[in-house]
Amino acid sequence: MNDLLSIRGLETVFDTKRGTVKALRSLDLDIHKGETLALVGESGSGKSTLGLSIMRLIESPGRIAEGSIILHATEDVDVTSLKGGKLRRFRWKKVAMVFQSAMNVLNPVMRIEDQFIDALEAHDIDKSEISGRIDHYLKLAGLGPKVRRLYPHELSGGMRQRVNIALALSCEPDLLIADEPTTALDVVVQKEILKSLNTLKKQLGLTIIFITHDISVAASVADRMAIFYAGRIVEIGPKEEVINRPRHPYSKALLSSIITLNTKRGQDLISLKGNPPDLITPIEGCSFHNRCPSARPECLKYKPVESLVSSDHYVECLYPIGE
Amino acid sequence: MFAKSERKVEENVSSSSVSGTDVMRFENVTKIYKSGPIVNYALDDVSFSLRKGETISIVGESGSGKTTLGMAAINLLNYDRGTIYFENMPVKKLNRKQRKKFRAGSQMIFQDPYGSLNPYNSVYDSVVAPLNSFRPDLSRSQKREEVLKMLDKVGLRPAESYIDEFPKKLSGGQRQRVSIARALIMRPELIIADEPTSMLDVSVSSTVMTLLNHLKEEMNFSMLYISHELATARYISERMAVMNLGRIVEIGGSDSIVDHPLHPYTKLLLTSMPDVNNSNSEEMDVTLDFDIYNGGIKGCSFATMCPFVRENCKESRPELNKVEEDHYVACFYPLT
Amino acid sequence: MIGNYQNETEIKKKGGLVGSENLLVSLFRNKKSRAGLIVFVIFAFIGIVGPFLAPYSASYTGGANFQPPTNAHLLGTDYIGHDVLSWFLVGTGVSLYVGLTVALISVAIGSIVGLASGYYGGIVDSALMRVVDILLILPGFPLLVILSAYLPPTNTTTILILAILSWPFMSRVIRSQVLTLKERPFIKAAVLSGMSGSKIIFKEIFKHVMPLIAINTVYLMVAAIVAQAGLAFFGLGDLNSVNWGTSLYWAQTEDAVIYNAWWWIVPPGISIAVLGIAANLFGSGLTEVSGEKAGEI
Repeated sequence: MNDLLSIRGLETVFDTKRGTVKALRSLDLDIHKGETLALVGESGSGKSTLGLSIMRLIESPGRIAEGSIILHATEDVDVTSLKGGKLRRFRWKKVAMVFQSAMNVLNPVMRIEDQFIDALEAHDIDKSEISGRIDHYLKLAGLGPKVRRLYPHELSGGMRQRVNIALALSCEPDLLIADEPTTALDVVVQKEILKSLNTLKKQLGLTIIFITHDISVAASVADRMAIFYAGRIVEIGPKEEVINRPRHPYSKALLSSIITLNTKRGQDLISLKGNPPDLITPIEGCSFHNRCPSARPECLKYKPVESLVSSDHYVECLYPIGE
Repeated sequence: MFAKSERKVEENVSSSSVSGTDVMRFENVTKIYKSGPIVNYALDDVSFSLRKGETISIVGESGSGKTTLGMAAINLLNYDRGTIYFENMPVKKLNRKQRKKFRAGSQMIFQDPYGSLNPYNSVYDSVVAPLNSFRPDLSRSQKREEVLKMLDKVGLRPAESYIDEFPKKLSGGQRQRVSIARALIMRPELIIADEPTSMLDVSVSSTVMTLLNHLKEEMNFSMLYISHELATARYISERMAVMNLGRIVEIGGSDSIVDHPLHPYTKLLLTSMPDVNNSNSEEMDVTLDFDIYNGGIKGCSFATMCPFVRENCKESRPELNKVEEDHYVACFYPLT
Repeated sequence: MIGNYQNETEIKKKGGLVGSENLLVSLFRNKKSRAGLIVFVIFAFIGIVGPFLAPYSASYTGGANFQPPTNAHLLGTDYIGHDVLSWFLVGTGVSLYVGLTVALISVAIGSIVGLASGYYGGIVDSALMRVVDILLILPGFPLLVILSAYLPPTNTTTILILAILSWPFMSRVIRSQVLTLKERPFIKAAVLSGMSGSKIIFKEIFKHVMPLIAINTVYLMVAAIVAQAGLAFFGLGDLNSVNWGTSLYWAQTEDAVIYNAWWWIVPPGISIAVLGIAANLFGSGLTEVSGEKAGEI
């Protein structure tokens, strides 16, 4: 058993006044044990919805309409059917999440230490063990024991995000979902956080799902990379493959629209016309056909299926680039 | 029209280097925020000039003072010391007529496309506002014609279908285009763009950057581009100023700064940038310390973090020194 | 997270919802505000045509005392034989007139003070807000009682007293809203567009506080009706005026409860309650509608 999590046919929808928005459209995904998988996509692509769906944090008007999220533990559990105490133990014990807005997660009127104690006690950790654990995980996240007695507002943004990571890891989950954990931070701090995530992964044998809109950030942490578009994964594969040999026209467009230090000044950037499809109306054919530079008439008619293009590299396109 | 007053001003500041082609010039501008015992210099003795037709980027992390600088430039913020000149006239001392010219001639593109348009006003209402104030001579239909032309220019086509739309119906990229149309409708000499794409998706952001580039060439305005991000800054601007804790620590040609940074802080920013190809293997060994207020800093603002720090860096403040043609650095021991 | 974008084609199809549909139509579409509006219209109708529909004059005392509802007196009679229905029909107009006038005066003063104080800040703000503070710390109802006791007991006096006491609250509400609005980038953009302070207040800010003003007008109107009833209940104000408050006053002093004369208390009592509920419904409906219009909900 090499997979930690298997997602099959997942449909997470949001009921709105205009109709039902299918944020995830029958999504399949396997997450390997011990890997960092980056979910990359633009706003509305469904990448954050997937993270929240795995955590079972989708709230009304949203719901998981269909599909399964199987956690391969001592025995297989379908996360979508967990309730009450079992769901609570699943969160944090098995899976923990770190969010973008570090300040909102920490309770502003509690010392860092007490936030740890609360979380650990809620998960039935032995009292004698707690203090040692706090120090241990703060240290792993690159923070000294001094931080324990401080309040969140006394910490900088980067330190707060480290506290969050330490807090999320303190219950020793198998899977960490990090939703844009560095988006609100400056580059220098971002680099430090990404470094410590990498170290933690190696030391603890963690599996990480890293959600980001920034393909460069994804490139610096991920083993595998999944490109999201309109509620589905259009391309997934080893990082080097996806970045150096993107096979889906959308991945390629996304990669070439990034401005890097080598972009020639004033040159026209490759850009996509139009908008992603409306997720309320059923999508016919390929979801990207209206914006695709290499679309053909068939793309409108037939839904592309996921196909293997090279080792562990899948793409959902009738005419993948380079074939 | 302003020849007379211009000459007068020039005489007054003849001691400093006055160039007739500067659109905007900062001279020793300082802005201090005090809260209890904390004294923070959002702008600490900032001097630079923006030449006609050029784009200069102000690059820095949060708290570096770059947004304060933009607000001061557009005269939405009072500063404590120093002078800002707009076409060689001190902005604070403009008379009524000159102030009007300054207002019409300097506009801003804001960061947040969702906050910079009034949700109750239509696209037309937003874009026409400057015309209402500065061009009372235009008739209603002439104004509408102007707005349509401008919308077309910023790529909202067909303009007719956008002009009566409300922001609610527009995507982030479209809103930002409306903002740009409003800023440009008076054909200003100066545009201040405060991270205009940082809240947009990657693919949208690249279209907006391309648009800005085209408009810049077509309409020939000067631009102060504020960004936390070096790659877009280099893409859009010929010159670049790097800010750290309210001070400009390095200023010069964008390529020159990116290719061989002279200040250790610039180098830190460059090596910290995530890179798609992971070609960025160089690392700098810094002690991170971001909770600094620069009120009490005697020496270099980067001294506490700098791996190359020496005794005198903590004692006296390095001034911007010319190291090569059009490349200045505020460091006693610039990188080579 | 979802739905941040809209299809371009869709824009053309639907047209601008905000522009094409006027506020009143939207208010009528919303269930809550529609219910509130209907109640207002019914009361306004009673208030205007009530005096003409009244079967007896308000000064008529020909009925038997404490007579339960009969065909001749549909809502019975009171302690000296007034027809209760006629009193109600005549009194509704007076109560609404007092309530509406108080609301309009205090909203007008409160809005202007709140807008100016919030937008201009500085000395203008400090000066205006000190006045407001003084008026706000005065204990409201006791002051009302004292003033009413010393000033000539007419409805106009009641209106002025109530208006003076309610506008400061209104101005605080508006001011705090303006303070947050002022920080939004679109106000900065308006300044850069060369708009003057007063233009920005009326073209950019006013639309945002308009729902707040409308809601508070309605609340203040109901509050003023209740306050007038309260004053009358304590025997203050113009007791010869025929309105809901004086009805309740006389019912209380003349022991309507002891005589089991429910028909005397119920009409004004229920009316005040219904109007209060209607105000709340209208208020929450208006909040929803205006939020939808701006795309902020």
